[in-house]
Amino acid sequence: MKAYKYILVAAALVVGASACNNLDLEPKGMLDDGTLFSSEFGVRKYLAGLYNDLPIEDFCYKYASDEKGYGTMNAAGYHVGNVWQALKGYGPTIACETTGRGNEDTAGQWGYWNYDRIREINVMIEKLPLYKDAWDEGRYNEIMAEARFIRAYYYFAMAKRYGGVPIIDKVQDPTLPLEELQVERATEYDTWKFIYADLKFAMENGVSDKTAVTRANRYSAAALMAKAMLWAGSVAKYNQYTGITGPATDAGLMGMDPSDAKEFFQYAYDACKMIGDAGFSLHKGADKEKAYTEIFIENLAGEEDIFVKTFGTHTTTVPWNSTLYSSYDDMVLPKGTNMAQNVGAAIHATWDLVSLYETPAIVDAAGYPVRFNSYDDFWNTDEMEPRCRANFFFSGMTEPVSGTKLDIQQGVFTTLSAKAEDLTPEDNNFIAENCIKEQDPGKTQTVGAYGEVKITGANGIKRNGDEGYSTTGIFVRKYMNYNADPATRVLHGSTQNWKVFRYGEILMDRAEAAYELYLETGNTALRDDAFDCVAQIRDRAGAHAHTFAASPADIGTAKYGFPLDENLQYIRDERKRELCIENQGEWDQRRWRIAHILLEANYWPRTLMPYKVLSEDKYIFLNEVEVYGRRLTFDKRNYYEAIPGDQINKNPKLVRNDGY
Amino acid sequence: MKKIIYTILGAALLIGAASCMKIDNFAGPEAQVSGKIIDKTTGEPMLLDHGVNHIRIWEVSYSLDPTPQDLAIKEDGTYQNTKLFSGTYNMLPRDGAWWPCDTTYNVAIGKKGTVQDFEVTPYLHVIDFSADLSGTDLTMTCKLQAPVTDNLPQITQVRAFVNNNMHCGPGNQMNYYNTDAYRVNVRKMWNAIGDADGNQTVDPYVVTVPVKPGYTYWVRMGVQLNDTFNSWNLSKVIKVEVPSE
Repeated sequence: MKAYKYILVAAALVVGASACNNLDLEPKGMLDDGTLFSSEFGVRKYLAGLYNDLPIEDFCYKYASDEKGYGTMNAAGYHVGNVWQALKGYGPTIACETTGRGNEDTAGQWGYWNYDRIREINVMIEKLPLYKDAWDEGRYNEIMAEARFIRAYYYFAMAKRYGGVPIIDKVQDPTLPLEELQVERATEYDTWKFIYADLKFAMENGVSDKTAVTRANRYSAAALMAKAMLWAGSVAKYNQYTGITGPATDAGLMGMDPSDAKEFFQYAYDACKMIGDAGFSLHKGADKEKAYTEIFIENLAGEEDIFVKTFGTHTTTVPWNSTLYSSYDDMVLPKGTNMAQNVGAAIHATWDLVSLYETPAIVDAAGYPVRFNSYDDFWNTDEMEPRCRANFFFSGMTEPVSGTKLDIQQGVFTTLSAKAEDLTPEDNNFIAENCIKEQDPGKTQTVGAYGEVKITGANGIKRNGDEGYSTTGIFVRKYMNYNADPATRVLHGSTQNWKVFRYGEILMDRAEAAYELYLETGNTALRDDAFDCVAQIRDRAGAHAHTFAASPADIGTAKYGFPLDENLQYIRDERKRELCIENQGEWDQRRWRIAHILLEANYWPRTLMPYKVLSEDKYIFLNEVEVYGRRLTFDKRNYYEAIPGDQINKNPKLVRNDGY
Repeated sequence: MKKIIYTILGAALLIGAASCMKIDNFAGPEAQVSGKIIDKTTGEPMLLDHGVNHIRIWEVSYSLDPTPQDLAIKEDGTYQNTKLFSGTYNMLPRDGAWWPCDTTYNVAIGKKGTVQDFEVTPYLHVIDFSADLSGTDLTMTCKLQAPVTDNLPQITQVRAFVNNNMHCGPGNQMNYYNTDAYRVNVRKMWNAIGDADGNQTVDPYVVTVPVKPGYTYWVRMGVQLNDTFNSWNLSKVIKVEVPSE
């Protein structure tokens, strides 16, 4: 028995002693900070997810709900990207640039509270200095600049929605007292200044190779600086006119002092100037229409491209959770052989947008619809600027990949004597005398002495159903891949890159910032610089040069209730012409604080409906309201999103935005 | 032995089943509150539209930072809610076209019902409202009068509201008339439209809308102000019967 006892004790000792071996080893299958932050590969690995989630509003951007496209965490807790339905709620639909199923009330859909990603990037900004020795000085700064660009991008996406937000620039330790973890909202001014500081560092220290456009370099930082500071300046200047008051406004969490506008416009202007001085240029070509389509498809690194989100082929069998391919072509082209295979034409360009370009008149001086000899005469003429043809397909244009001559017609008039305004009433129950229409595309009918005639075109108009065929008379051409293999025109098949920042946008930023600064300072050199930027854009677009008014009239007071001079309005219109359907317009109309006035009374977008007049053998276009009767409203409190309720529950220090 | 096991099992089941019964002894939402929103300058209830304006309430019995609820106000300026929990509430008539007023603190609301009136000063009165029928054109006219003119928010627009039932206003109208064609876009501060005495508009606002023969309409006019809520001051409602052709 005693022997057993000794054996037991000895065994216990053996077991106990071996337990003293240090088992706290670095696991071989996990990457620690040292591995991640001391090598190029480590940093790339760490940043990949952060880039993937970067709030870039690209082909996969849907303004509402969980499907924003930049890998946001949804309610179920997983990433959602590359949702093919995104185009149905594409941003431009709420800026009247296009229509689609996204034309709905815009309230409470824009939320984006992304402190999980901010924590990730803060980890890098905090840990990278510990491994400074692993890098040479210059490269270390470049990597740090990249990290701060990314942090600024995330904060920008929040500041433009909420105004002032809590500034978290350190990694919070979850064991700290709750009091310290609950951070108050910074003022909107301080939030923008925080973004400014990150971007300033990134502009000064980022990679200086301007052809390296797929990761953040100093020029992409400058481009974001221009965009963000233009936003801040606009809010400082125009938010006062919304008339919203309350505790959040009083505390400076919503809106800024109008006198701060100048500072931000100056930052924006300086950033644009830096990009201009670096030698970026507009992409041009002898064939202006062709050259303009190339901006969005060709690799223009070192020329017009500043920052590009690259998309690639669809390599997984599960078409979700990656944002690196899109369904764009399938969602903008009409259905047809070698065109859209699955859905087709989920968004349709509006006359509201197209009428901003130089086009032939469709109503004559006396108010009657202009008679064209063919639909081609509307677009195949010098009266239409090449940029307009490059952005849109009209009836009679040929889609380049399939070679299809697009055929859009809404109906026929046997005879027509009415004025245009009598044919385009303020509702979508348009019924006219002597007019024959059909609900479906590709219909023919026997019409009296005219025999069998085509009523509707093969590609539209379609009135019962809003996809696959035209509902407005205009298809979107911008960004459509003219090099595509027709087999890729399916869901998740498109591979064209998204130009996050291009020099064309910088020139528009610069024009606006310069003109706003001129209004603040009276410096005419700035005004002339603004006019020059617009001239460059218009020249490349093939549009006629514009003569700005020497003493511009105030056109804002009557329309918006606050002053806005006609030259500034022209610069804004040019911005819309240049940047339409690039997810800019819906943000611009918020930034300028005009959305609630433009979309005041259930705004109804307009179309370009092609008809044939049989008795005259001529063709006309009518600006009917949108077929589907989708109307737009905007409540001004939505200029600032409501702070999420679950966040207020977690952190009672968060002040609600006014109006909620 | 078997008997004992069954007895014990039976007892356990009984106890177990009984323990599943929970008595919810918390009172249901039976407390009631009602009252009026009174125009301080006239002593009359405010002219409002059904469900457009709200009284915001916070139940402060249990929490210092409660989630607010909104009680709808009726078109005659009264409100009533019979499905609240008993407790102490702070109340504020919040999103209407009146000068911001103070929160009423610690209103005890219970089963027996509480009457709580609020006095507010409207931004504007819509006065001299008339609706004249000429054939199938209905012409509506009104003027504006301001009890307080200093710091009055910008006047955004004057609009005619038309409905085919007695509820009429910005929240209850025929969509057909809700377009820019049937409004006056004002966008001016009071000093640009007020008269010499400063409290009444000089020119009347006139909106003409088409109506159909044989139909009955309820119409009114309203003026919108550029305050936080883009709120509307409204005229009284007039019933218009259009004769058959």
